[in-house]
Amino acid sequence: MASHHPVASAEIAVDSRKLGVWVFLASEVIFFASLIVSYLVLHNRVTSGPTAHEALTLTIPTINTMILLTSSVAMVLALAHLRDGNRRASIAWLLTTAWLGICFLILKAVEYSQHLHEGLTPSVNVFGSAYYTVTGFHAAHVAVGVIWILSVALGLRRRLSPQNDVLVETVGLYWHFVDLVWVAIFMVVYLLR
Amino acid sequence: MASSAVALPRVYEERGLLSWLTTVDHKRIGILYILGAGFFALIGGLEALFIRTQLAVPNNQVLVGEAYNQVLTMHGTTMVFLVVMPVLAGLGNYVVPLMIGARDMAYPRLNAFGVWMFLLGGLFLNLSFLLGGAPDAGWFGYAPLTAKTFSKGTGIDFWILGLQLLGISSITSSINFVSTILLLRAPGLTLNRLPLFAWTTLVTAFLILFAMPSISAALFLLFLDRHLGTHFFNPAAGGDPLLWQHLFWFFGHPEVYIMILPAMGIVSEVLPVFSRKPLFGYTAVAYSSVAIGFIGFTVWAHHMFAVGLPDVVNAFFSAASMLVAVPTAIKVFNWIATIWGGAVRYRTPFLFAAAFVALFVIGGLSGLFLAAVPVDWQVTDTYFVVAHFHYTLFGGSMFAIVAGIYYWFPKITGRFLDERLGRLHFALQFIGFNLTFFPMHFLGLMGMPRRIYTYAPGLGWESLNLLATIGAFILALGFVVFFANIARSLVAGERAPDDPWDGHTLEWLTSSPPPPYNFARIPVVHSRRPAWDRKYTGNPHARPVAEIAGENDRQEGEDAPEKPIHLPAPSIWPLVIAAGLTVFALGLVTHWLFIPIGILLFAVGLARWATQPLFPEAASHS
Amino acid sequence: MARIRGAARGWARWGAVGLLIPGVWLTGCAAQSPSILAPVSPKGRAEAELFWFIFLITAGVFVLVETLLLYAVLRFRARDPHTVPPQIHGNNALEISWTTATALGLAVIFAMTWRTMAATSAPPADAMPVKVTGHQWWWEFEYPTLGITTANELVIPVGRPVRLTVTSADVIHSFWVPQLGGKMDAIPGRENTLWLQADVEGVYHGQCAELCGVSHANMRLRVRVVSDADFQRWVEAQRAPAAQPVEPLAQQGYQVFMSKACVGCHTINGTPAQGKVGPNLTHVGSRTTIAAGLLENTPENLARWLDNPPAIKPGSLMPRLGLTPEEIQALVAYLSSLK
Repeated sequence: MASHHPVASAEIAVDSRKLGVWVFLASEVIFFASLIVSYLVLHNRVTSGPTAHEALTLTIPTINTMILLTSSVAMVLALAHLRDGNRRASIAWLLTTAWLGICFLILKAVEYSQHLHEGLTPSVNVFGSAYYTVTGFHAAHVAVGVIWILSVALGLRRRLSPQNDVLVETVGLYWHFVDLVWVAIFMVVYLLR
Repeated sequence: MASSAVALPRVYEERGLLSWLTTVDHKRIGILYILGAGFFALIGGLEALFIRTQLAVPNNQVLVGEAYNQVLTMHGTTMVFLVVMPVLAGLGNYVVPLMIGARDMAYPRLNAFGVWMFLLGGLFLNLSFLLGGAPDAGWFGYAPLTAKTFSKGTGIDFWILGLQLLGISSITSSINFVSTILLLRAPGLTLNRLPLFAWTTLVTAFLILFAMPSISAALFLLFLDRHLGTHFFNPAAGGDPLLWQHLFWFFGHPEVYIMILPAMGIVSEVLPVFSRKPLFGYTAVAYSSVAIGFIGFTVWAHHMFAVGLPDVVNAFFSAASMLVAVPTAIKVFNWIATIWGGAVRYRTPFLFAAAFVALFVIGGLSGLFLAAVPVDWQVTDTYFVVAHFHYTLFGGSMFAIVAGIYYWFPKITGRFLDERLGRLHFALQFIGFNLTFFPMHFLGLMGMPRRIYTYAPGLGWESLNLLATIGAFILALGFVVFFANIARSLVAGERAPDDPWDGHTLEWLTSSPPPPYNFARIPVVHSRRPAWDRKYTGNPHARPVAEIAGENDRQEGEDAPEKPIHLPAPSIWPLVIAAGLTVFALGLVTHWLFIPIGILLFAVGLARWATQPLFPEAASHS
Repeated sequence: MARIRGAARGWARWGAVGLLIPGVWLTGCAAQSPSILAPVSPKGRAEAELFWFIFLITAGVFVLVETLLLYAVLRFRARDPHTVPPQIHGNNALEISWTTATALGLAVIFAMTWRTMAATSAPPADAMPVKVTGHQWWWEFEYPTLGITTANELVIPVGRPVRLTVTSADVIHSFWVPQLGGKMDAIPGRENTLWLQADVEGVYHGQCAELCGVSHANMRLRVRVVSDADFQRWVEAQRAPAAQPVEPLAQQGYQVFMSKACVGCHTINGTPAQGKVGPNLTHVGSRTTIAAGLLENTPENLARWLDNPPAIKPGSLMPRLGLTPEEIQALVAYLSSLK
């Protein structure tokens, strides 16, 4: 199948699916930029209820940052092993990546429940609105990534081969992007609080 | 024209409803886009006539208050998202792969998904009329008028979700255009030889990719404000209505170029062909498109000069907006220089393309008044603005689109559109258009704000409004002639040869209509006008040589053994996924039961899409 | 060929005439229209001058470009469909010259724009402050230094600068009186500044310029520019507490007003009515119009309005109160007495 997929004949030689994911991610940059800018504009305009400084702690987000960065390494290893022809190892690393993504989501849920317990809800004030929206959209992207990784690692595992590494490479691109977005959120939302 | 050395591919079923519902052929998808846009144009046009009827005389009672605001909002939303954008996507879909010598778009199934998403999204948006009232806050949906406090019904929700669905369609089709144009060009077709319509489609795709996410984010925030009680646009709780405007116009202004650039591309194809000359200043025209694209992202706040931004900010956006006039002027001068010294044939496509230049100039010049901040303080939100953007988007985009349809109709159908009806259509549209929109400049200067459903007598606005209304009906008559021409020509139009206009670009090298695989052999390109150069040798006076297109299409490099052609298999799953998203959206606005149904359709569709091979034939070989 | 050239020249001439006609006609129409080209304020004049300056340049460009286009289309029509003209691909000198010319023209327009902005943006220091609040669908005017609150009719003294602080109580509106200068958006949660000064006494039409809901079209206002002496008289009258009803019918109307829903939304200074939702009615009888400038302030119109407000202003927040004809007559008598 891969060999029939359109590959450039002109100046640009890149698998069309890879280019498609790149282009899509470029578009996603603007989406998250819009959300983050909205957060920056609004988060200090709290009229009542907890502020960013009061509500946010660093423990869970720091662990979560470690988790996602580790997961990116796992994703790199998954691709490397596939290219070496070691499909089993590749799948194992893919599953590791997905598992780390799930850990991130569980910790994020724990963090949310702490916030809710302390009275920070999306509707309590404008910081709450912006905070839940930015981190929520990121978490949704992590969830989509986990599903995508699992479907590649389990659903499409027979198709994985060094010649068809694009299946892993594309989901890898996405996963690294979601990581980078988290790093940006970590800095803007947590470190600059 | 198929050469015997080539093994022609298996062609999938081409008849019946199912073949259309499952098609992944870029040409059929292009036709679906165009037909869909034509259908929505009827609705949007009727809405325009209602608006003009209400405004014909002061204190009229045809369409009052709420109803007027709904029709007004849907007219704008429809024309932008359901007519101009999709018809350009449709022409792009049909023509660009042919122009660049590709067999299809880069992602045929994603392409099918894009058209279904557009059609279903458009129906979803219009469904609001039947389910409790259409959106009524203008096409730009300024907060906090769109907040739950001020818009209690579901109209705004239909608008939010409808635009999200249409946004998904635009994003996917743009990814497809980028990959197709960058990766699937015929051998020798460098970017420096790319036809202008492909160039502008490429730039437009990037504009959509970078502009659409901004409104998509804004729409999400608005939806959360309305349904989760967040405060993004709620000033009472620290939210900011201006945030909406910034996010909207960061999308909204590039959107204007999204609608005009491909139209400029069409004109840049039509004028040279009917002047029998190459496009004057190809490089200047191509790069000015890129420049317009870039500058287009730095001008958004010129829609916001009256919101109270600091003078320095206003001045920056004023300067940037004026800067756009430079690449635009470059194009206009190059178009005129293209006609200059040519052998001009007054066929209908040329008439519309030349009128495009004439009218777009007016829209561009009136734009300068709006870029000059102090004048804008006076004329913004008046009928002057309505006149301005109709000159760019109707006099501009729509005239070019009509030119494109007359131009490519013979390629698409194998028949000409009738020339006499075409001229009648042109006369009616040109006169009707100017009669409708030219007086609006004066109305704006005379103090008539836009978006008002009524006005008092005695302000000097009566006669011009009546004139505009008469013009609107003449304009509508023009479109009746147009649709009649299409209907008649489909059945009984004069048969068109493969290369009816003595064309310049690759699409004229294949048959009319083209076979599903477009070209039996992919042509090799040596210049910017591959089709022309096969007919006329490269000597400076360009004497014609004997060969006709097709007979001489095997040039150097084309004798290499071809790989077997495989056509992508039809698939129903793009439609299922699009339906899933639409049903899901419906569930969010109406009954929750639709939500699980939508999710189920989406999940099943996605799973089946992912596991169904694109080229089953090829897969079974390997 | 000469014939075609002649035709092109003729067209050009008609084009020039066609441009002049609207110019002359516009100035003529200004008499009855709230035209931006008939300004009566320094700011409005500066804006109109900039308009005419840009008009001059763009009209020149318009004539030039359309003439070239028309000439090219008419002159180069192919007589023989098989002609192949010389294949010219471009000309760098031409490209550079029209790019430069356009850029220079724009630079001039921008310089003039900047000059006008700098000259008109800051209000004079001695300007009289007025707070303008947009409501769905009426205007509230507060004179903080004078202690006056009124609605839909802004009264200002001739020749004196006024600094407007523009905001909104609900959605975005836009304050605009074309002959007095550009508009300013009224945005909830924000206070924008706009200044104006009228040099000629008279009544100037204005209205909301931002779509603000069902009755956006019905959100009109008037600026009454009066002499200094008249302004002083008006101020004194407005600062006085509401007139006590004298006539029996007006007294009855007072009772109706105070016992019905009216008090919940309207203020009449010196009475128990202190509602803040609708316009202040302390001196409603002194206004020339009612219902945000939709109707002249006559007893008949007032009665019509009181009977069924949404019929006159769709979506009006003032509902149909189900008043009896007798109650309406009494209310009309009372409200009309509030000079």
